[in-house]
Amino acid sequence: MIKKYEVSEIDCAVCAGKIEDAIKKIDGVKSAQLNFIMQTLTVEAEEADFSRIEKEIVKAGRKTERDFELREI
Amino acid sequence: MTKRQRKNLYKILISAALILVSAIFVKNECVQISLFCAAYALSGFDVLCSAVRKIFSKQLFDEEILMSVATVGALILQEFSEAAMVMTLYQLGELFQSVAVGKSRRSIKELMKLKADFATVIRDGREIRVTPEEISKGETILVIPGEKVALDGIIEEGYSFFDSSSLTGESLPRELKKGDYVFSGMINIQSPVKIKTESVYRESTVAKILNLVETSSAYKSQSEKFITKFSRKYTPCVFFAALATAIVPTLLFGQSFSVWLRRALVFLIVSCPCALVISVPLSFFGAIGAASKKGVLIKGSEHIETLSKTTTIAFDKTGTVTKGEFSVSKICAFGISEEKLLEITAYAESFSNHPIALSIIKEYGKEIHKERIKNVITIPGKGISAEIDGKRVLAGSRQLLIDNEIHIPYKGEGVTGVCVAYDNSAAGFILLEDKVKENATESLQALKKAGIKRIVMLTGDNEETALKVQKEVGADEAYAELLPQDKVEKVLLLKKEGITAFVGDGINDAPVLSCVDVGFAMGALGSDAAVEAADIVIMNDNLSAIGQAVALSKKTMKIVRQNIALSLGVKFGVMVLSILGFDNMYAAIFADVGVMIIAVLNAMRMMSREVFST
Repeated sequence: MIKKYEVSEIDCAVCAGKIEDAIKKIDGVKSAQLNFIMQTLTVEAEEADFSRIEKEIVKAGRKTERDFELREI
Repeated sequence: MTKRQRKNLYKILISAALILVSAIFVKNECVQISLFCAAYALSGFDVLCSAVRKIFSKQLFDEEILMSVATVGALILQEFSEAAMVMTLYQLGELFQSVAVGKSRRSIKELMKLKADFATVIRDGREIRVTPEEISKGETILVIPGEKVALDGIIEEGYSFFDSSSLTGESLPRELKKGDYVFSGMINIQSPVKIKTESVYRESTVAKILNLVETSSAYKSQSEKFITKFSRKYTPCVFFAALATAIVPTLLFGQSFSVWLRRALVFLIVSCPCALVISVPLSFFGAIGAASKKGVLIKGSEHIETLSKTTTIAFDKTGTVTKGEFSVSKICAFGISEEKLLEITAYAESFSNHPIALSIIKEYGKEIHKERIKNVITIPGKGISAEIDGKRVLAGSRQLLIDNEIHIPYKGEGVTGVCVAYDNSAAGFILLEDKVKENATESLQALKKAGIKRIVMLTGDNEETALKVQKEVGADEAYAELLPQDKVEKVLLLKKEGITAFVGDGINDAPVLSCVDVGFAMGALGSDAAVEAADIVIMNDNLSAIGQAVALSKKTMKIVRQNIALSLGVKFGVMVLSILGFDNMYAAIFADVGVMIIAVLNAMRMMSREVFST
């Protein structure tokens, strides 16, 4: 299934690219797309994996952007 | 400005004040140095902390790390004022970037404000306010004047005018009444209406459009892909170049280490590819946003880039260059007046709702007194026989008259026409044609001006009609009597000779649209097939939007190229100068931040509403 999130506090496009790469490497993520301008993140994964994946996304995001936050839309 | 941005702004202002005071008024060296260090600490604390964290999480080639290394290096060289200055200006650049991005995001979101925040649904006779997502198909919603329609549906009660400009870019309001289909995203401007929903929010027109625009970044242009790849390599390369600059001249040629270390630090200052990485996608997104405001949906920056290089545009004729509705082109009467011929034909056809009948009745334009008509008989595939004021009228194909042993000197071979007999003798014929759209000629001329070399028309119609329309609109070539598969073949041939776009209605043309370089679908509001098949979707029926899209694509690419050339030029310039000995850190940071600001401002020109003018 595909879930869509709003991400906040990403000011730099390079950082967005890095975060997207990191999210793609998370175990169980089939595809991920971070739209820097719209501040949206689209993730495809198995439904059962999502709660774990969401935690890892936040962890990965905060490595690059301290104030990274995730909100499902 | 957000809270975080304001906090950073204060820090930058205080640091700048400390630097100025210390440089101008303080004469005591110790005090001066401590003031510079205070300014450095204030502006750089966050960056240094973040750099340390990143080193531990092994993200070595990060701009914050490189800036930290550069400024710490400056401190080691006892260049306190430079360290403070570089850090303050770097923070100023970051702040500017964050504010500019925030502004662009807001203006793009503004452009795409199609979704209604809430809707009033009527459940058990009560009006309840809910979000559009909570409404199911088949419910009744109330839309009062000033409100956006939340979901697609059919008007159940009421009558009003609707502003569809944010969907189609059309400025004229549409008049809709009971039984008419209303698209989500339209704004009710006159009186309250009740609408029975035909879809849930997720499947509504608005959701589809928003989804299309938001995911448009999936189809990335070559320039964007280049920038992404380049930025990943650029920072490490600059880092190693800096390392080499610091070490090689000292080790091999025995030159002064501190001189070359200074030069190396200048390299680190220009190590961030931000100006490029931010301004290129911003330009594309601005262009997509500006176009969507005018009812032109571009599915990705890839298509902007291809469109800017397009040399050939092929048009489908019926419904694209022409209106797709018939109108009377010639009335030829024998023995009776033309008005009389039109009158009796309109009367005879008044019980039919065939498009040809409707266009003749429309041309007649006067009220039809049905009591004058008797004994109407429809002869399938041939026409109509009726008695008008007691006299027999035949209206239909030539064959219909021949069957009734009436000879008619018909001069309408290859053109749609109606033959008429009145009182058992030939009365004349009426020829019909599909009219060219009002602005077709000027729209095609505008394409020529925008740099399109070859305009081709493809049609399934006969040669005669095709040539006539070609001449009227000023197309370079026309190919007639083409079956759908012939159109595909023709387009593939055109593609061999230059990058080719195709413009069609998107419903019958799906195979052609999918094989050209850029496919345009016109008049696509509410048609899923068209949105699916095309690269660029024109929601309204306006041909001039194509020329504007071409011009927009060229403008976007120009800005993108300017930004790439400017940013790379300045950065490499700074590096070369620093090797030659102009190793001024102030100049380097000014150049770096300055270029970023210029590039972002340049990209933001795409956001202005005037870019895509009608």
